Amino acid sequence: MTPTLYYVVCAVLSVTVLLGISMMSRVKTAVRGNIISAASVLAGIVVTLLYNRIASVGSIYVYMLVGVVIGSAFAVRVKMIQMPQLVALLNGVGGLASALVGILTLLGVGQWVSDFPVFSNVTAVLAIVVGVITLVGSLVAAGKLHKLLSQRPVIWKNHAVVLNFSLIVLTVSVVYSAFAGNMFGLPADVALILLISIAFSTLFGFAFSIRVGGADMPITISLLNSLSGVAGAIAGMAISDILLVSVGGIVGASGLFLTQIMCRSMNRSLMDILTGKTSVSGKKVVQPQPVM
Amino acid sequence: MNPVFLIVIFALATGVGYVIIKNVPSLLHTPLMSGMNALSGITILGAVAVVGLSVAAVRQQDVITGQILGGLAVVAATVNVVGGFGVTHRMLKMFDKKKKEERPS
Repeated sequence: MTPTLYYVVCAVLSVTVLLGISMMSRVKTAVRGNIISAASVLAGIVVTLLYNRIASVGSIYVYMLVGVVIGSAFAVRVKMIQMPQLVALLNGVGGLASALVGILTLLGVGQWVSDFPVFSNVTAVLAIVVGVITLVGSLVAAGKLHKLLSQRPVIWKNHAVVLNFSLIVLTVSVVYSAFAGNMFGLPADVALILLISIAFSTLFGFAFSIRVGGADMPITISLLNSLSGVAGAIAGMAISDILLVSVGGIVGASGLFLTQIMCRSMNRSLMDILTGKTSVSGKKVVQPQPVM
Repeated sequence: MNPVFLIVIFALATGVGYVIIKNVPSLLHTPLMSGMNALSGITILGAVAVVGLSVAAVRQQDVITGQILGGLAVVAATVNVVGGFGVTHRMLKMFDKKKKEERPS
């Protein structure tokens, strides 16, 4: 497949994904929109296999088959009432995939040698950070909805400090990854950057979503959903996959917009949920009730 | 590929993605979210590419790492895509049934 043809096909597939999403926002065309989106993803896989000339690698099909079996088992078996936590769980799994792609890129495994190693390293670490936050945050959200964790917002004493501190550490590790492996010796060690970024994004994801109460969970999931699209797009930047970048960007942005729509219809402010204000005021509302 | 080009694509996609959804009826919030979730499994493209290209790695160690971590990524992303679209389809079918049942009564 020639590069020109590849770019054209990528543009066409991006448009079909857009079409699918816009059709899904209307009741009449929603089913067809869903099928169009699914077909675009399938076509994207075929295009990737052909463009990278890796269609003959057998193990890919084995892995995909395993995924298809697990995924369809989830989709068929789960009860309607358990849907929200399933969506959260699936979303987290998608974040995991982006993070893994980021990890492999940072390790320099499985891609064409990049002409821009700094860009590729930085985006790889960014993909790990966003992907792991999505994974952990979604798992906590799923746990809360499934009542494995307490539905009430958990607020630690130094919650804001923990969040800000881990955010700073993550920013530093993303910046440091620009020097990965060639300067500063130990602080720029690839393994160390990996360890720090995974550890602190886990902490951040956990601290962020544990503070949100059960009622705000759908909005949080929608936000994490948008985040996992962004994670995919960043992973795409790391490995120079334009289709991944464009579809990830589309999902990220329209997911964020959907989150805002949901906030508006639930009469919540997104900023309040992000900064944990709603959960605090929610607690105050709960307090007067003697039963609680 | 040039980073600037990639960032421009990302910015364009973000802009278009933001405009594409207008007034979603609240009935469709959950299925749309679920469908978007399935679409975010598009990262399967990256996972597939990584697994495929890692086979040709020079060091044996890299091949193994690529197969294990990359394989896990492919499985995870496939679960996301298949589960996501499957679940969305089920949700949307439910709307259909409800309507059909309501109409006769």
